[in-house]
Amino acid sequence: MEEIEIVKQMFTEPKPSPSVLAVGRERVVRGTRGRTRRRAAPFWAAGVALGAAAATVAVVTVGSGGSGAPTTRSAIRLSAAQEVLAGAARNAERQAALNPQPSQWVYYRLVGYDPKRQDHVYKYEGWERLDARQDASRIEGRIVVHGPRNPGPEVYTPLGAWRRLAGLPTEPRKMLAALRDQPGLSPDDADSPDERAFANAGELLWNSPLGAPPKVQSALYRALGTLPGIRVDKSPDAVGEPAVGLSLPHTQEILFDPRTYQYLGARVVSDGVQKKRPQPPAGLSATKRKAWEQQGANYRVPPAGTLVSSQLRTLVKLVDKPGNR
Amino acid sequence: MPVETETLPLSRDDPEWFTVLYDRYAEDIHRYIAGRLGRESADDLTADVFLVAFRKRATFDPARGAVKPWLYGIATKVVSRHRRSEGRRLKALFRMSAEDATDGHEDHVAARVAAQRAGPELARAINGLSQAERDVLFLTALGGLSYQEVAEALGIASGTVGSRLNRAKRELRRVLGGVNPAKEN
Repeated sequence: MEEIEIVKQMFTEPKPSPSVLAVGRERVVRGTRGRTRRRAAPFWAAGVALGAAAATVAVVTVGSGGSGAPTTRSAIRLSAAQEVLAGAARNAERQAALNPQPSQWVYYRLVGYDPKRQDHVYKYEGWERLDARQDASRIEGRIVVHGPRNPGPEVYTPLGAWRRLAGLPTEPRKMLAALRDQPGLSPDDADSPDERAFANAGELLWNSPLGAPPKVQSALYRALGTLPGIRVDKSPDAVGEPAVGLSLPHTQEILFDPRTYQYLGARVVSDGVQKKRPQPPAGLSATKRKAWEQQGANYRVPPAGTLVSSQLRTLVKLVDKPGNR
Repeated sequence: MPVETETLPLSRDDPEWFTVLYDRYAEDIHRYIAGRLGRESADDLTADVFLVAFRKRATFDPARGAVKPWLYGIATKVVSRHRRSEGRRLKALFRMSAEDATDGHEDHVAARVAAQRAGPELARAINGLSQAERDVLFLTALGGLSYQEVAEALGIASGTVGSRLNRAKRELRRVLGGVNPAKEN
């Protein structure tokens, strides 16, 4: 069999990455489900209310249990994270398409948690011009506009992030590839290409209060659904709003409303890992070098699982001028 | 030959069965397609194999054979629809330099060295085989299938598998003869 062994050596390619396999799995799940539902429907349509809602995507009732044999037979196993993302994708598809202009504004209400503030939980409402050159808030009943100012990097402005999202491809594998490679965004903790894609998605969603065109936003959620190993955090948010958080090992959590699957915001939970401090810059004097090192010693990472921060936009609206709600 | 389906408590008509099959065999099928058509194609076509399998599930008869050769048979049909890109890949391998040829394991050093030295010649010889002979060769080499399994996969007699494989090996030996350090002649 020596010739066979040589052919094997010569033609064997490296293993496919988990995300490639997961994309394929998603296709198999989608491709096999549609047909069988049609076949199976007359079978048990009587007992189970398989209405239009259940028929659109595979969320069905896996995990909620107790609905008997028919459901477990027909339902495809989606992970808890995939259920959330499938719900988020459907919700995104239902949103109206927007055509935001740089001179328009976004009105938003925000609830946040920050242990460094005097009141750990804070609320805020305000307006920001889509090009980020101005913002506005209500002070003693009057609308006060701040700016104009330098808007900073475009991908951190509401319209810049919206446009960046709008330009993403909708095919899941291409979407993930594009998310991995986002110039100007820097998820420094991301450890793997999948983590980088997930972290960049979270960052773009946060930077763009208006989200993305419905098609792209739902495609983005479906693409994230193909990533293996997404964790689901159902613990109630510190700000008192119900939220379900999704994350990969070294990323922030992306928060969704657990009932509507509307995007809400981001939460940072400590992984308890002390980051390696970068080398001190070259050419420091002995005193400065010492100060640099001591500063490092003082820096403590909170224990794993500690909530570091949380920010939720509970309401977002595209308006023409500040003061409008 | 054990019938693998017996260990799966799911019906053939159950879509769940295909996700179980996918989880179990996707990597093997990917390796097989990637070896013949390249990784990019394998990324796209691996799921196709399972979707075709789902559509053709009525043709799978657990009494007649195992799941693995059935899937490899479908994968081979999928590959044959891309015969041209297989040809292109083999031609590219003619021109490949020795360092690119392979990244094998230490325990197959002799085979690796031979593959590196003979790479272009070998690719040329494989390209000269008939499609049927190539199918048998790659199902054996990349899929690790036995004669019996190859016969099931392709729906041919196992005697035919033997004769096709022998001819393929003879061709390869001809080009390897001059460069294989492990072989005397």
